[in-house]
This record gives sequence, C-alpha cells and structure tokens, in this order.
Amino acid sequence: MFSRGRTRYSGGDMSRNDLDEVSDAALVMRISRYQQDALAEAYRRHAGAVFGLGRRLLSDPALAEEIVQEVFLRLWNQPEKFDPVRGSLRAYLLAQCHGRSVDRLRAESSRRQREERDLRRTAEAGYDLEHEVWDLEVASIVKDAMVKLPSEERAAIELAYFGGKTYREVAVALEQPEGTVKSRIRSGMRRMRTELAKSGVGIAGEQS
Amino acid sequence: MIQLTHEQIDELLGAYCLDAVDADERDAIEAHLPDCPRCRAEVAELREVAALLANNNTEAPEGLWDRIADSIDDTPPPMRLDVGRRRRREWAPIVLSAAAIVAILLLGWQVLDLHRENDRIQKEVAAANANSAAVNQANAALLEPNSQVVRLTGTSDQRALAVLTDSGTGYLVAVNLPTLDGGIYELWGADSAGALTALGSMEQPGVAKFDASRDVAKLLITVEPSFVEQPTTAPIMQGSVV
Repeated sequence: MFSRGRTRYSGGDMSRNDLDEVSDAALVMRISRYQQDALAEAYRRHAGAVFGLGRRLLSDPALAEEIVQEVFLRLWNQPEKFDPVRGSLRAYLLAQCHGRSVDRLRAESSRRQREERDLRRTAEAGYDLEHEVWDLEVASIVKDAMVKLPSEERAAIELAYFGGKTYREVAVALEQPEGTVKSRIRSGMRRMRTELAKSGVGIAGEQS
Repeated sequence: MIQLTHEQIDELLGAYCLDAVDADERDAIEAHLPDCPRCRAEVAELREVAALLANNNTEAPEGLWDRIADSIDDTPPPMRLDVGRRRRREWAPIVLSAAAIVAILLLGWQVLDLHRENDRIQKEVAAANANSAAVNQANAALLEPNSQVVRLTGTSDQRALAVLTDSGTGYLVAVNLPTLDGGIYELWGADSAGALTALGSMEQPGVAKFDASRDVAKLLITVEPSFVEQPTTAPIMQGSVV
C-alpha cells in the first residue's frame, strides 16, 4: 500500500516500527525539546488538513485559522498530550481541531437558524465526491468505503462529523429515534474501519 | 456525573469519536476510558477513521505559520525539564541539572544551526508547494473514469503510485522515497519485450508529471547520477501496468 496507508493510520496497533510513523513521533520528541523546526515540519505535514476540516465545519476561514493556531500552539506547549501509542499525529491534531470547532459551533447564538438551514443542506447533499484528498490512493479507498455505506449511516456520520451535531441533534434532523442514530453512527464507523482495513488502509481492525 | 455501563458506553463510542455526544455523556466516557483498554483501542481506531474522512488537500492560508511562529517567539516556553515525568525520584535534582545543561547546549547549537535549518525548511516548503499543484492534477487524473493506477513496489517498504490517463499524461506519486544526496530518480517504461524508455525524472521524492503516451507493460524507477538514456543501475522499484 502506498505512502500513508498502514503506517500512519494504524490506530490501535502497538507494534509500530514503520519509518513514516517513527518520523511523526520523533517530530513530537523534538518539539518537546523546543525545536521549532520540528513544529514547522509538523505544520507542513498536517496544517492543511487541520485547516480544511475547521473551515468545513465553521464555514469561516478566519475562525478556522484561529483553530489551527490553537491546535499547533497546544502541540508546542503540551507535546506530551500526544501519545503515539494511541494513534497517529494527524488523527490527534484533527480530533483537536474537530473538538474545538464543534465547541465554537455549539456556543454560537445564531446556532438555531443555521442549524435549520445547514442540516437540510447537508442531509440532502450526500457525500461530496469532489472533496479532494491529498493522498490519492487512500482518498479513493475512503471515497469507495463511504459510498458503500448504507445511506442512513452515511447521512448520520456526515451530519455528526461535518455538521458538528450531536447524535440527538442528528436524530431531530433526520426525524429518527435517538437510539437508532446512535447505533447507526457506531455501526457506520465500524463498517468504515472494516472496509478500510480490507482495502489495505491498515486501521488495525481485529475486533468485529 | 451520569453513570453508564460498559455496554452503554460502547454504544456511544462512534458518536463520541465524532464529538457528537452531550457533555455529560462525554464525561462519563472519559471517566471510563482509563480503566477499559478495549474501549480505548476502539476510540483510537475510530478516531483514525474520522481522520481519514477529514483528509483533504486543503492548504493552510499563507502567513498563518508566521503568526504561530511569532506567538511562540513572543512567549518563551517554561523550561520543560520534567519530560520523564513518570520517573522522577529522589535523584531527580541531578537528572534535572544534567538535562538543564543539555538544554542549554542544544539551544546554543540551535542558534548556530538556525540559518542552515531555515534554508533547508524553505527549500522543503518550496518543493512541497510545487508538489501540491501536481498532487491536485494527479488527484483529478485519478478521478477520470478511464485512468489507470500502477502500484510500484521495491525491496524495502517503499511504495510509489503512478496514474496514467487516456490523454497520455502520467503522474508519478513517490513521496516517501529516501531523499537523494545528489543524483535523480528516473522513471522508465518497459514494453512487452523489455525494452526501456526514459519517461521522466525527479530530483527528490514528490509528485511528477510524465509522458504516458506510449504503451508500456511495466514502470520502473532507478537512481541515476543524472538523466540518462538507458539505466546504469538496477531498479529500486517497479510495477506492472495491468
């Protein structure tokens, strides 16, 4: 598999010995020794993806920039919060970005109106096939896996992840019971994991 | 805090990894995680899935890094000497002062080395920018209905990917090859009889466009001192065109 496959996305796998992986972890080691060039390198590798996710969630580039800044400053100030055993640096930074973006979304006063509008739009839009991914092979695999999901699962994941909604809010938007949405998100995510692992994007997926 | 059983928490983990649970549920999950390796592993994996969903080739806005670097320079960090925080014992003071000396030496070394480093980073950034335009094109090529993907593999763990389009343009995506200290990577096409034609070259790992107008059965990469008409070294990786 190509470039960032098994190496960087090998989630819970403890036996990581790939150079690619070591280099991200080694980067964080250097960051913990205040080597700014290491932070610059981490930024070069991941800032685009972090910014892209923030902008997609917040629809506001200035806010998204703020988030990127916070995420990388936190990496600089508290590098020990990143635990390479728990997953990749990219997943960690993106999770930081997602959490912060969602906090902003939920804090905003105009939330209700925007919800009405955006939920409908996202719910109808389906998976954005044009959404470009920088790693070509992984991109095509993720795209295929997403398209293969049952549409209810896909819609629930989209609304939650890219819409920044809680599963209860997703339930309201889709007019489905909360419990159903909760399970669909879980089963959809697990299905993605299995599908991606099958395609060689190694997210150590030994659990069923 | 609300109390949830392992089963209830398990049920919530998908939503949790997407930040799609309520605050009290989140607190309950986070209280549970330290004691439950199974849930922790699940969270780690689902977060990787989420990261893959978020993958995008957006570029961070220009100037943003400068602002981050500035704010780091403005507020010098506290001395971070307790890195081995779990191992602090009665002999800690000795370790700390040794670490302090190392830190000071490192700082001095860094200042001396700063210019060289800056130079290197700038070159890398320029290369990355040049690459990202090619990545966009390669990505578009991949999405073309008739484009063809060739996977190149070598003896080591390295991988490369070539996208061949109907219109005769090819893109070589070889980003995790070793950086070359002099010399070039040269791409070859082999016909069914094994005759080689040079298709293109690149000085460092990255993404390169090449001429894919002729029929080839195989793609190969060699390391050459400079662009040559026939390879002078054995291929480091190759892949068959299906």
